[in-house]
Amino acid sequence: MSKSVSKSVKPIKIVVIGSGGVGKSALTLQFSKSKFFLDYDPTIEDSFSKSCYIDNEMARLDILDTAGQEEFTSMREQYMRLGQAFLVVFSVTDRKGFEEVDSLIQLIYRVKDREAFPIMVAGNKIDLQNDRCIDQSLAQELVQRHQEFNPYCAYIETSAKTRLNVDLVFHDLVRLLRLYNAKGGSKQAKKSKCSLL
Amino acid sequence: MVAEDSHCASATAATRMPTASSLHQRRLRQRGASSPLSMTPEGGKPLLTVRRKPSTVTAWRERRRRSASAVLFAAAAAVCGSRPSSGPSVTSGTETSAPLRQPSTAMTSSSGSTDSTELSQLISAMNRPATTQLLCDNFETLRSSQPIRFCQLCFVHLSFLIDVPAEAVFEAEIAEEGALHSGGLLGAPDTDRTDDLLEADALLSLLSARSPVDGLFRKCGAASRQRRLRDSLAEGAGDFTDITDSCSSHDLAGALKASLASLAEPLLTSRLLPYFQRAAAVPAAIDCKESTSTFSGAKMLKAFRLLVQLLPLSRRQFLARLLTEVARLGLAPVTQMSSECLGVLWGPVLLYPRQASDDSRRSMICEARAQAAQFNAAAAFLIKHATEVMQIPETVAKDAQRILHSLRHRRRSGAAADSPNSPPTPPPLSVRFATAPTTSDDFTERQVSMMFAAVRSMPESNRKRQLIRLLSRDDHATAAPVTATPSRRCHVISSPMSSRIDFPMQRLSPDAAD
Repeated sequence: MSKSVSKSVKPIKIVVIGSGGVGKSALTLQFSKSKFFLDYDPTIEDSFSKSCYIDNEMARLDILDTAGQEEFTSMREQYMRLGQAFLVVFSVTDRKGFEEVDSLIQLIYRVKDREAFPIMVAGNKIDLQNDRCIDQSLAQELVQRHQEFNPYCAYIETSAKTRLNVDLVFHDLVRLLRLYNAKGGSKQAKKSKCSLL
Repeated sequence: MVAEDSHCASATAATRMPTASSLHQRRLRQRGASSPLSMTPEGGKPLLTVRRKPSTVTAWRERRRRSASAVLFAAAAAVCGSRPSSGPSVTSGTETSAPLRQPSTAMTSSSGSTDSTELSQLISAMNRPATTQLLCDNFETLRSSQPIRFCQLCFVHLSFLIDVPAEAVFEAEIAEEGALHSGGLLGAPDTDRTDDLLEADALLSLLSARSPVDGLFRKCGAASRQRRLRDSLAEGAGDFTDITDSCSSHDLAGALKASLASLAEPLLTSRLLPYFQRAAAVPAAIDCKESTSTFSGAKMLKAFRLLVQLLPLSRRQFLARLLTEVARLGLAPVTQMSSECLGVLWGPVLLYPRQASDDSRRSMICEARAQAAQFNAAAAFLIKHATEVMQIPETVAKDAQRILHSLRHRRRSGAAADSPNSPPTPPPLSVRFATAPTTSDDFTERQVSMMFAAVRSMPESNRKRQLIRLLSRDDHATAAPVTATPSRRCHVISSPMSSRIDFPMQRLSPDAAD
């Protein structure tokens, strides 16, 4: 297709969040630039954009890569307000990062004032099987708990180093968002909230 | 030679804040030609001899105006303060004095570029720490016996490097009038503050006992364990070994950062933090790959060195430990971190404004990203040069020695201080502006009138009234006969309004000056 088509497509704002050093930037860079860096470079905030076809439909992704360190947590709510879909990353070798996933998801609900929102949970670094301390079942369990009231939540295991499921995780997130938009999830959630009041 | 130093100082001030320097020039005019080129302990004979004829100075001054690079050169000279050897302990002044002995040739040789070898000499002189025990001892003596002088000395040297408002010196004088205990001026640590530091100190000790791990300081520790650790440390219970054993290095690092971030008084003290931030804004900071071998890198190093010396003792010692440990642990190959990365993590802890609520901090990070990058880069610089930053700059140490000598000399000469042609109180600073223009200087007039205009346009405030009083007093002084004894002290600091007037630098270019 011509470039004009890609420009006409409204960009999807994806925000990548998670604890420090879990591989948010690695995932984002692997997806957008097909690169993997071994050394650490703490992110403050970076954004990338990439256009791709997902289910024969053009999508323009604006990916916001955020800081995981506590020093920068004050910025969180601001970029959460902008995001249309969230990729919550944790490292399967880092218990602390996993513990934070739940609170991050809760924060998304709160900032977005919704009960359901497209959220993809990614368990990263599964190439480091020897250091693994978070079982797949543990993560699945967490996501299933959320799925009870948020059908637009899913869990995928990834490895930014070996590029395992890297594309899938972003593509599936877009699919979740499309589903969410198609069902008018946003309006429903709001309405139900209002009726409660 | 201080005279040359101070002469260059006026040039530096002119580059940054010409209005201030012109004020000084006015004062100097009224001071007359008695001893414009010497540092004089009041009542005594000049401590240092004059090496350059005044006429040469005037000629040089004229040339300075025409050459932009000369201004830079003068700044470099003033900053590094290299001078022909005059003190007993000067060991290496001779080779660095060369560029200063022939400033006119240096100025005229090329207006576009400064000789690179001379510049590198200046830089190396600027970076040179005080190594001899005598210099360090004298520095410490001055700090403990004359805290005000010490403080002012540091601020004066600092004013050659970064913008320092005159409040810095006013503040010192106010403290002088009141009851002063030696630590008070430099921010005496309260008990609770030291307690705060104790916690961070304990955490640092625990952390330094560990070996570096992958992604140290970068990966977050568990918040619950960190809280437990900090709580138990706060209680002061002796049995926290089981807690510390359960903590990973990441937990310790996170707790350390959190502890420092939650200090009631920031580690670099709320008084000095703005200066640290200004030092961070020295251009080198943006590209922190620049080492101290560049001019701006050297400038930053010296500014940080001075600021570190102004910190209260407990904080200075802690900062020294913190930086060396962070550098040692964080830069170990196994962590896979560079000093730039560490800067990103430590910048917020060390240098970001503290009073910042969440909102302002967010706006700082999001909107003033360049500034945040500067702070981060400066933190990286501090970590990279952890040991160097703690050293005393040689030039400052020599000045401290000189001040001590002059004080001793005065004590010995006793009543000499009461002689009529000396100010009733000794000038707190040993630096005086040496340029006394003999001809009418319309450049100065213009600058002063500009400053008047700027002051008048300020919003009504105490500060404005104070400034107007200051300016009109100065005007009056100029009108008075030259013989009038200047009782005012010599404020050499750049400008009381440095933060308020944006002086366009182009005005200093040759065209504007002529």
